[in-house]
Amino acid sequence: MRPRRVVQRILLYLAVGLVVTVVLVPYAWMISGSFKETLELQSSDVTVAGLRPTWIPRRPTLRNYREVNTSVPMLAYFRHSILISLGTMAVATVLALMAAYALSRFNFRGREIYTVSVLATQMLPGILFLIPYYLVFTTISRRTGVPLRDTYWGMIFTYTSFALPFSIVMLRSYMNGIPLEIDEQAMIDGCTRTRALWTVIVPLATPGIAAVAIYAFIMAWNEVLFASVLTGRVTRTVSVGIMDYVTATSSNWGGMMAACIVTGIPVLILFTAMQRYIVEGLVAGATKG
Amino acid sequence: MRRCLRAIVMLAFLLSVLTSMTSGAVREITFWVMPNAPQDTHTAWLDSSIEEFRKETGITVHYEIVGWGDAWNRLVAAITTGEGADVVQIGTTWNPQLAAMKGLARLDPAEYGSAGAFMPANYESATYKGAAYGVPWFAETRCLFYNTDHFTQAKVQPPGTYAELVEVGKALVKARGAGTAIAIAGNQAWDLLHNWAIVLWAFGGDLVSPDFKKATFNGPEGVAAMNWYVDLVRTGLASKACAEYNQPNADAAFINGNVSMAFMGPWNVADIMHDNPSLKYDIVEPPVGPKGRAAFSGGSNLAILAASRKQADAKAWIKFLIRKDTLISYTKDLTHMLPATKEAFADPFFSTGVNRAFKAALEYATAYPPLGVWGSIENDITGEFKAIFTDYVTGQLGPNGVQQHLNTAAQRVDVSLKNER
Repeated sequence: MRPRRVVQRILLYLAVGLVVTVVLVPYAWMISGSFKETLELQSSDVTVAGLRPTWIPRRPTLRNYREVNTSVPMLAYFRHSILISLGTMAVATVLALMAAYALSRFNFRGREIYTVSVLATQMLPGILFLIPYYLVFTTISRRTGVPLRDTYWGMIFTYTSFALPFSIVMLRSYMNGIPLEIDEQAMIDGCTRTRALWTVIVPLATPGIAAVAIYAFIMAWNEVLFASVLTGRVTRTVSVGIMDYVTATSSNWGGMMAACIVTGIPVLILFTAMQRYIVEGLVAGATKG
Repeated sequence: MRRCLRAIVMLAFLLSVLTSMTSGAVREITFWVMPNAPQDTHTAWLDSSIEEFRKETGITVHYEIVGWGDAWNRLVAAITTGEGADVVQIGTTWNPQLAAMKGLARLDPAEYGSAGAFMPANYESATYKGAAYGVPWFAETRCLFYNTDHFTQAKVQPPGTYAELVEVGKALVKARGAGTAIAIAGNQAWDLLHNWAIVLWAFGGDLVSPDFKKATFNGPEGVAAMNWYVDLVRTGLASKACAEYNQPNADAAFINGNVSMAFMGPWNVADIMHDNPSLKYDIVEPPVGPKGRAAFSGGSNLAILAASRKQADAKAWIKFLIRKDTLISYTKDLTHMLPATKEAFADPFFSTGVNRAFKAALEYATAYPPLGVWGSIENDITGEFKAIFTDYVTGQLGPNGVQQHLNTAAQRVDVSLKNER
């Protein structure tokens, strides 16, 4: 190998190592902190030798894990988050699929305006919608008696509306890359338009659909602002509930870090399993069309 | 298709009829409460109290524990839409702000005893332009905790004045090392002002003029009080790390035995029992300043949203919560705060042991001015306070730095005060 190539390779590895370090250090600190007593985390002093923060806990403890569900009902929050995120994922994916198919395959008046309008909703800060959503929920509840605030359906409805614009655009780009002739061949063979979609196009668009599904899931899983106002005792999610470890008078960082790890592991497994589809779908969605 | 549509309309109609029929029969209210205690013990207490209340009155209370971080957005949304809760817990400084937004129902203190039934500063915090918009629930004030072992080692007595505190601190540093005398809150503390206000008042200064028209904390007393606070770090009594501390950091430094003194609240007594029960400590009132003794009064009030359609039931729930036995149980056994009613405060528990200092301090404690614009005022002062610490740490705090920063804060506060209607 030429010396120039060796240098290039070393620089590449250094750059990759740097990025990986920057990304992983906070997580490593979280793992380390989850085994420390909160007193050790809180009382550290960078100016005093014996009190500096250390990677290895001075008095390792499993107490944070044992008590992860004691002072804060974290497992209930986890259940709420999973139900809302999966619900959002399912509803948003199905709706985005149908909308993307229509935008990709049909020529109708206002198609471009519709697409731009959908994207335009993403350009406004979310806080602007907070009170309007609350008002919509309140009005629907008053008029029909059907509660929406602090219900799973209310949250799924909310998050679906957030996830749909980007999902539709991403999936449309992906579908544009699937030749129109495939639909036509399926219909020549006797498929209806709907059957062609479900039996021919959907299998071909699996990576794109998986990417959209994961995007919807992540969006619902991580959302804080709307969850802080629209969820309640019945539906409080992990992203908001995690802050219960910090009150006006105390901060249980050790407990919070243990809770992050416990609730993060199932999601990490899901993402690892789906990683191939996510990358494939996102890259294809970004380049096709 | 048409049949399906008709079925949906019928179902919606049926649901609304059923709801309207049942809503008149059941007496229910919604209560938003903050995480005042660990959730497992808090929910157990709330569940049993709500059941007791239901048996007494027939009213069912649905409660929701709302984090402090979410509470403001929640309250604003509820006030804007008129939906969400009937009774809410609010921080003492929020009470006038929400009243100014016309979000809270005006209350008659006589229905809850009288204005004189509550700790004076806490009652004042529940008022806006002279009228009550809340009922004081529990109170907090901060006193000086000191490590008795460290004091014995340094052969010093607990300080009675702010000047003595510095002298005692020097002796402690000599005996135990630099930065170990006291821990104070710094840049990361949301309640930084609470810590400085007591020094300011003891030094003879005040935050705003009595007519609430002008900022006054940038006078000579204010500069002296700020210099005293920053000097704790500058002279090595407190560690430089304190410049970046929040209040729980300072608390933990004391509880862990790193430092010998800290200004802390009654809830920290429970923290010590939980985290370091072998710690030898005692508590004294805040030291006396050149102009006397001062303490800060905070805590939480109970309020009824103006839009609540269940005002009578909401009042009944508040009366239940501030009833002597209920309030003593909530503060003494659960939250480790101080009751805001004099009747509950008369319980012998609050006059014994480490509670004595808190009881004494709360008697003369001062609340912040009950202003609708208090939120921005607190932000203005705290922002410049943090800038002072930052300048000190980065070596940019000149001889007039404190005065300049306080002047900047005062200018901003004057603008905010002009917006007070």
